[in-house]
Amino acid sequence: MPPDEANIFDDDFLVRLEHVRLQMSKRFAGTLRAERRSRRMGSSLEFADFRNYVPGDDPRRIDWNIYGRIERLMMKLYEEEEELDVGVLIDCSASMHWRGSDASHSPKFLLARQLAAALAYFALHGLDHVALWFFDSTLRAESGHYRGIPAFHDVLRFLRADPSGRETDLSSSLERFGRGRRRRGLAIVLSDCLDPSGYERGLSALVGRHFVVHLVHLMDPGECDPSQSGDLLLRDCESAQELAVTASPTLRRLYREEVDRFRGGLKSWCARHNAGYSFVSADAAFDEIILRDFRRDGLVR
Amino acid sequence: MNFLFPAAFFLGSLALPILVLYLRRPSRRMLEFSSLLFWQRVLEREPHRKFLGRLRNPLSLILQLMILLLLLLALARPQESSSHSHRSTVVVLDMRARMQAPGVFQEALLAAQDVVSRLGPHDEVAILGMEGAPRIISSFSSDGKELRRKLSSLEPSDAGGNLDEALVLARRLLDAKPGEKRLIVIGDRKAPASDDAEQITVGKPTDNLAVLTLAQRPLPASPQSAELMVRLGNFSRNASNAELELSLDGKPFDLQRFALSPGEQRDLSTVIPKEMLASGNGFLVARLTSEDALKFDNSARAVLPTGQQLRVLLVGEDDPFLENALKADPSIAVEILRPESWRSTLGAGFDVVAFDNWLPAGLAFERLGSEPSLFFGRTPFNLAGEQIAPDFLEPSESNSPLLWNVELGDIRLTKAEKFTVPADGRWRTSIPMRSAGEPMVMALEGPGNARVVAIGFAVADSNFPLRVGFPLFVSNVIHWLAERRARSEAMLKAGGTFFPKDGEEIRKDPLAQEQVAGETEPAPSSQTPFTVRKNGFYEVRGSTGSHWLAVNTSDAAESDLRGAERQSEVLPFTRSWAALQPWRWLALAALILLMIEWCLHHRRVTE
Repeated sequence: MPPDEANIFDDDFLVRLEHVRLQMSKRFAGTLRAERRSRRMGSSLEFADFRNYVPGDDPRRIDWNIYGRIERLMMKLYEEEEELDVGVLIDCSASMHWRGSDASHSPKFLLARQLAAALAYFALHGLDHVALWFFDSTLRAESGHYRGIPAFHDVLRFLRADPSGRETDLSSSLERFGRGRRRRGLAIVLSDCLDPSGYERGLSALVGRHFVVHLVHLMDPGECDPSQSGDLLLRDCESAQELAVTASPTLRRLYREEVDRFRGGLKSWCARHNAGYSFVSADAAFDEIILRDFRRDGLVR
Repeated sequence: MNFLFPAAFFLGSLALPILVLYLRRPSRRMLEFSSLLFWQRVLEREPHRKFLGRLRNPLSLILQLMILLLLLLALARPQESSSHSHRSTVVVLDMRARMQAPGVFQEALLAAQDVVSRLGPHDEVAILGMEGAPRIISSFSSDGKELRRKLSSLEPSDAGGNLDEALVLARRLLDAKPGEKRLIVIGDRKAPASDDAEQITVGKPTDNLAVLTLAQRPLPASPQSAELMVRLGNFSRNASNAELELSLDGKPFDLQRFALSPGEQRDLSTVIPKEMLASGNGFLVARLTSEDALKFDNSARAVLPTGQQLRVLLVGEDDPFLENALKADPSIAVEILRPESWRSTLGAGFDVVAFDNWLPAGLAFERLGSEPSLFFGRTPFNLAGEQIAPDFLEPSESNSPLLWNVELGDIRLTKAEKFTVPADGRWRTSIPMRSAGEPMVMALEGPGNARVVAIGFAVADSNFPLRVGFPLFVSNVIHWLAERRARSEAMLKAGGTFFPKDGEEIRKDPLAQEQVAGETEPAPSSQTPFTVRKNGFYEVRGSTGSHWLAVNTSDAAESDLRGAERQSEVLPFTRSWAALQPWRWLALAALILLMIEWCLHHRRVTE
């Protein structure tokens, strides 16, 4: 049975979160210490490199073992660990609430909120700053900034909200997010990317502002391979636009090819712009998404 | 290619409503979808669908239009036709007894139906059957259905015969027809002297054992007994063992075994004593107990005279010698009539009429009828009364049936008259006895099975009545006179025609096997000439009673299947499919296509 709104974050869900860790691929500068390694050399216990001693350096960091072997003063450099600023953007448009004829799985929006909760949990566990947003045609709600495990309950309280979505506008939402963030960090976007105006502009706004972007692309199985056939009058759940279609096997095959083409384009765009990409089908098991797909795609460790 | 019903193409207008039905858009099912993004892109990438998109289920439409086209073609009845000229075809179908070999006649019918099925709109076909004599099964007709119906009702007869008569008749039929002519002979082997005919041969060489002949005659020494002669034939490629069973009125009384080499024909004879013929119908059947390819020749039948006496009317004054000689033979029942009581109509009820030294007024040789007659003394051949010098009576034909067991030594005549031997070529004359070189006993066989014996001396004018041979001679004469008639009426070859006499009628169906030993049942009969096609016993009813006719094939050529040859190895199954008319193929194709369309529709492939 798929989870419903009432038990979206039950105890079983919370227990599963303890088994995974967020995995980052880049180091970022930050003001607070955290488990994330920065490009700056600091005072943590992680060795980074050697360099020649220059006057003014802290004599406590001179490596006397090397001086004993080569009689030169060498400074021992350590990586400085910093906190990570993690922003989770959740698409709450009408298309995310849509579900195909198969009722055995949850709508995309419910799964997106569970995944957002998991990612926030991992970030809070790593002493990172976490903030969450709902967006559709614009940024709809912001959770505020959380740090530390105790704040996770606030995260869940925020995610339990179910803002009724409207049309998707990735460009407007993500540009506004990028402009409003003073600190750069990891931006995780959970969306179906069904924006008629395209996804490139919005994602580029994040990449251009030096966010590390990871796109979690959610799709319903009914979107990937529609089971309906015959003469249909399709109505867009966001724009209410209607389209007459005779869903023959040939047309359905072309549709599947178009979806594959769209997914391939999205994945290659992310690869070209050094952004992460994970595809999530709404009927996939939550554990497998975290432990297999996100690990495979480098989002978690 | 011609179409017998081209008006069917007007039904092609049905394609229009079908097209309209596929162009018409039914109310679509409303369905909410997450985004039309991909659908719009698909439709944009397939611009031709804007045109085809007007048609619902184009594959289904194409299939249904093809079905309609096939049905229209089938209704139009296409026919192969090399030319538009009139063509007349005569099919001579061999229906002789040998076509009864397993599967052979069915193949022949299929071949004939194949010819009929290829009839063009200007073609005519006549069908002749050959079964002893040629028979017109169907005159020239273009109605294929009627021709096939007549063909399907045919079955081979038990008759033999020669195809030449059928070919002559077929050529005569064709001569009366204009245009292209075609003669087709269908049989189990090629017909000789038929170069102008197309031959279709069916069948294959088969081994066969046969009873070729069954004949009977009264035993000369004991006319009430019967002597049988049976001829067996082995028409096999290997030696065969035959077991012959003889039965009388359904009761077997003899069983003999023979080993026959390939191609051998063997005769055997046996005697049926008079005690066995004292009662019953006299139905004699010679039957081979083993089964083989042909059934009709595994048995032959004959009718034996049983419990019957020859009725003799003796017309004359008191003649104790002749009366006692006739009464001495228990197979003869004699009735005596004074000359003054004679009427010409009285002879019809007797097997033989004997005139003892008396001749009806006006009876001459030219006025002799078909009734067997015996003349003593005064005969139609010595009306001139020319006396000859009396002398001894001498046999001139020692093997004459009139003289069997008759000793003629020292028989002297006291008075005799000279015969005038008839010069009519229709009569065959033999002279068993002479005296002083002159014919003294004449036996004549004439038209209509007529037999006459004339004796040129009166009984009292010789010492012959005092001899032992006299009653034997009288008995021989009576039995010879009656034999031809009885024998000719009791046997017939299959395919022959029986001509009933006045007041006679013949059963159309032979006696069933189980009825041979029991009572007969009423059956349709014919009073007109009747061609007998099946072997068996046929009852002939007349005003004075009934007698039986035994019908046999008695033709070795019909039993010999070694010369059969098949033209090709086309199996009847494939030939029957090949015989299907084009419209049937088209209808079949339409049906198959309909089933395919139905399956595709239910699998939603055509949507």
